[in-house]
Amino acid sequence: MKRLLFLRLAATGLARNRQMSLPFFFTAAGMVGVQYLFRYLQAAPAVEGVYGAPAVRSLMAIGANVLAFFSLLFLFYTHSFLMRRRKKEFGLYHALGMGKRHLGIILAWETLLLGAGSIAAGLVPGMLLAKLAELGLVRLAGGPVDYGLHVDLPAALATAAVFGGIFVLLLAGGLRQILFARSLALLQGEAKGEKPPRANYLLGGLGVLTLAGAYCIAVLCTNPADSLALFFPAAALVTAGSYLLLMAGSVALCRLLQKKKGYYYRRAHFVSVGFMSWRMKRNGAGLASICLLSTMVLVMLSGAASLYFGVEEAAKTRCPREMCLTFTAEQPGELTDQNRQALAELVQRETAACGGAAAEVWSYHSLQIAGVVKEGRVMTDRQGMDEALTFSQIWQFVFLDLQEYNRLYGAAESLPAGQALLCLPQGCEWPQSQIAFAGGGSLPVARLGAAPTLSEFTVTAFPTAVVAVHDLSEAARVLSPLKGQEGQLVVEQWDYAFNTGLSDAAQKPLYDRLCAALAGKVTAGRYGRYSLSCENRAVWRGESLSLFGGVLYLALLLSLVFLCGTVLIVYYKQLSEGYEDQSRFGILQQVGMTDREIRKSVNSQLLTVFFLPLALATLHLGFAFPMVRRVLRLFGLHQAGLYALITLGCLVAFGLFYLLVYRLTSNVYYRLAVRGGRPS
Amino acid sequence: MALLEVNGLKKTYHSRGGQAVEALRNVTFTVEKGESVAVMGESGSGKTTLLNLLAALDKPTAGRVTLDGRDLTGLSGSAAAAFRREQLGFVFQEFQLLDTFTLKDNILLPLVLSGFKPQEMRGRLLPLCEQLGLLGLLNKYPFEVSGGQKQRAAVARAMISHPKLLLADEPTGALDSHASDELLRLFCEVNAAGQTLMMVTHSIKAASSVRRVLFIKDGVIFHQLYRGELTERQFYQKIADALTLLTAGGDER
Repeated sequence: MKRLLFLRLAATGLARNRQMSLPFFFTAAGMVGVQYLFRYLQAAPAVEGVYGAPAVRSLMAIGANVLAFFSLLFLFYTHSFLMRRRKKEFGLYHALGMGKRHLGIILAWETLLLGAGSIAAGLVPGMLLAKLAELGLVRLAGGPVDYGLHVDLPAALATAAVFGGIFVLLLAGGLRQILFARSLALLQGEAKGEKPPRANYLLGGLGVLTLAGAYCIAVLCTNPADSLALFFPAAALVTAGSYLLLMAGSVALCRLLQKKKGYYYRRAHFVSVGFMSWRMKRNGAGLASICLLSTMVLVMLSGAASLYFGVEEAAKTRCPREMCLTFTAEQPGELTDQNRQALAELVQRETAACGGAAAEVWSYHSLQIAGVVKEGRVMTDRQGMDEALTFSQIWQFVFLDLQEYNRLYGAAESLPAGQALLCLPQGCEWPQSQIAFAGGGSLPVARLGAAPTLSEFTVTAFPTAVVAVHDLSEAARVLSPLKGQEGQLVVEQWDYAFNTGLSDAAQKPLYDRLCAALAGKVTAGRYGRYSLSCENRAVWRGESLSLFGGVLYLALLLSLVFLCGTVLIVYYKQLSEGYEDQSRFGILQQVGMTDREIRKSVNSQLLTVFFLPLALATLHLGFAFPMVRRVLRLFGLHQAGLYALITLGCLVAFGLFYLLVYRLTSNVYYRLAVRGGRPS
Repeated sequence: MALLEVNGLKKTYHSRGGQAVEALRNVTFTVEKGESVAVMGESGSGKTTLLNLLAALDKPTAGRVTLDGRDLTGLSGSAAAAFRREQLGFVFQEFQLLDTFTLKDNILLPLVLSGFKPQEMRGRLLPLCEQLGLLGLLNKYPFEVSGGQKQRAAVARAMISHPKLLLADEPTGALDSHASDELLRLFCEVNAAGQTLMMVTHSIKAASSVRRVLFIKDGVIFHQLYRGELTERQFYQKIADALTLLTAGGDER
């Protein structure tokens, strides 16, 4: 009987506070649904048929974990609002003679109701959503469609376990608050004797510095591989900086303004600035969260959309001809003139057998080595490589014989024997009159040539230097002492690319046929020993579409979740602010502020509070732009214009959405604060 | 001419069901410049409605209010707000200080809204706060000071705009007896210095500190008493007797 009483108290308590508890319930249910969705897609049978299924699976696994973490943080955040309003009620029960133990029981019931309810309410639509999502993914990434509805029990159990855990933590947090609260404090509940905001100039300044540091990294790091490596440190700095700036920096700014008498004691600023310092103290963390979520959505969406829509271009960069074959000799010297001649004939025969003809052939034969460049010396051993501070110090050296060089660049250079023509990567200098390989020989540099312009040599993550020599054997002599060292650093490579004259659909059979006919095993001994990398533009495009389709899909799903998170934070913010400001606006009116002035002041405050995060997110996005662009180059995307356009599109769409959310939720605020506060 | 003239004031509220409630039926009285007046009556007698009408926070159904020859009933929203800010000072039972501002900023609020220069504000703030004993508390926040101190700050806020009329709604309602006595003494002082004062109160003690008491019942002025040459104590007794008559249901005037 008594136990039922507590259950009833818990249920009526939730119902009475439905303005708070209902959004919380739906948030939790939504997160349960999406969590199930990700766990389902991870193991969905339909994903099997998609190109690059393992990649999609691991993406979904990452997504599920990111979301679980986000759910934990977010539910804690929204639960705190709920707790704040419930505390007063608990205080009343306590005053009426209930022990803290009883309050704990009520809270436990409440958490159980919310937890079990939201898990159940989330799983059912989650299952339907999962099916829809599965069809969507398969459609976006290509693959066989299956319309049957499966329920993945392990995924459902895992989801329930994740959220069960989160709710246990929520309960623990709530119990801690009740146990350690003094009885009177419970009764007084909300916002009693809150400490005035203190300006922490140190933390505020640190926030500015942190952000500046992150922005410097984004702008100054010009190498794609470094950009990728530094992306996450930069993101961490931006995160820390945003929190510091919005939590401490904003209060410090308000305090500074308040110290400027001429500015502060003015009709237009007084109330707004005075209120803002408190608002920012309470909301700094929430605003920083909104800002970071928005930034994440924007960077993720624009990046993923660029990848997906840029596949065509990337395919062209990656495969300058429809069919690109790269033969890498197991030992330098094995791809002799005769062997290459024979291989070319074999390729042409196979192409003809498929009904095509190898045309616009583009090929070159080279020796290549990677090494760390330091003052004109090249270190190619492991130890030397480890000394590289950034990826931009690691260069790729491509040795061509002069004839090949002249042919590729349409030049008519001549060279004395034993000397080299050195073409440095864009913007680099060479301080020595020779190229010396640590542990190997050296080549005197006859003169410097123009920077390599062929896309083959400019798209890679590493700077590429082209070294033309009279004959490749001269390069081989200089490099041969390095050969025995760890990692087989010197590579003899023959690139052979051509257009086939076949339709996209007919490329795949040719591709399979060439791969089979040219596999090292089959030709072993006849044309020298080599390993083959064969890429076909159509095949690559298909695979990439499925991979990037999966990425875009994941980004869309995550964006949706983060957007919902943003909306809810905004909603809770308006709600809690509305309650807090009720009495204040009543007072202002009695003191002689007109409705219009109040409305103006409220508007300017709300606009600042809600568009500050968006403005900061836009700034973040702007600085992330060059970095993301360079990372995209690693994937073969060079059109900055396309990425810029997509980014702008995402920003505009997001901005409109944000505006809509603001308009809808600010009505809640007005209703509570301005009308609710009017003296009767 | 009287400073405040209230003539045939009537206010009818319509509840949600359409039921008309007459808060004020016909209220007529005047307040001379420099007077101190208390309005007494039971809960629901129309005291708060009267105060809201005097402050132009609400519009009467009929009748008019003139302050210093100016008709308040025709004021538009923004003119009413300016009027409240410049001509009236308000003191409330629950202090109504903004918890986000220091006492100093709370006190300066009406001046800032009226667009005063910082030097002028300073010129008014310091003497007033010295008189009210607030000088050491100016940088504190409302939650850091006692109820009596909060009410003194509220008085300072009400008086800083040099209002023609100081209105107080149950000013001692949230104070202990010591703080109440102190506040009433303060009111006497400012009144002696020329400030016209009108308070609405339940407290006989508070009412006995002024020169004239109006009794309001069921929306009309029922009775009034002048202190004249009586001591505070004698006046207290007289008010108490009048109240007894008022509540025991004397229908005669």
